Amino acid sequence: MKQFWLIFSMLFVLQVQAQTNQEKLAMGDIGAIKASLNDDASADTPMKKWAELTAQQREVLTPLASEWDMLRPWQREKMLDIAKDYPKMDEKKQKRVQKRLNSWSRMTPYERENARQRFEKFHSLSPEKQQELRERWVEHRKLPEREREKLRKESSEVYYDPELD
Amino acid sequence: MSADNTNHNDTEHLEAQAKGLVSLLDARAQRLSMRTLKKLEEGRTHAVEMHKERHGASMNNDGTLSHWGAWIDHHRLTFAGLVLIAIISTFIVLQNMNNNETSDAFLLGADLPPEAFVDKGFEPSLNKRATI
Repeated sequence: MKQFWLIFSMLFVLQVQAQTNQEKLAMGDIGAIKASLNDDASADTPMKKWAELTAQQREVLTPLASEWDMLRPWQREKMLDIAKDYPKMDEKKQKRVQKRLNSWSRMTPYERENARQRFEKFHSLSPEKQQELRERWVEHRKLPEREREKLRKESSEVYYDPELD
Repeated sequence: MSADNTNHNDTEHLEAQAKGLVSLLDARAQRLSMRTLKKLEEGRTHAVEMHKERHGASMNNDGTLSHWGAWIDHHRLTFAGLVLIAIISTFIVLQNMNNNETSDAFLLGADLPPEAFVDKGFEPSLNKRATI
């Protein structure tokens, strides 16, 4: 009986560790920012300059070439994560990534975290529902700005961390 | 008669004999004297004690020897099932880690632009409650 519980607890620990790693990946900017607020943690974050990046990374992150050295360590880390996933995508998606990198890097951590939460939810929807939302976005963009502002005020917060205020 | 049939008859005969022997032994066992039973019990206890001393095994509550893997021996199917479930679930979790299609790169490459995901006024059903 003891041996059974020993093996079971070892397998359970392995599972928990795997899930914790997955949650760490999903922390987004927030974890990295919180870590950078702590002096000890920021010392470990690498500050790779543009010239120190690999050719593949420079190719992916070309839109950020002029501002790369001014980005904070945690911002660079997130951009390098994008460069890592870039080869997994098809050409159409890769072009979109290149086009949207600048505006993405300029968003606040709060906006980026909101976007991640909502994208995760969107990704879990059925293909039909996703298509429906794409069509609704086209309609939503046609609304006047004041209408869109009104909708934003009426909706609930997506993600809020008082430390980011 | 074929050879197969002969072998089958032999087997049946032997089986019948074995069953007869078992019945005889059972019947005799019921009529063992207290002295014999006590001697058998002492012999068994002595054998178990010697085994414990030599191999360091402990005793279960029912008097049987406990050894490493005893539970596994007696519940092989359950143990195998548990191991299989653990392996499969670990594999699934690791696969999910590797196929992280909700990362920033996939967000930027999505059909909907990041602005759609930033704008909480668009499709409020995508919003979660505040986590403070």
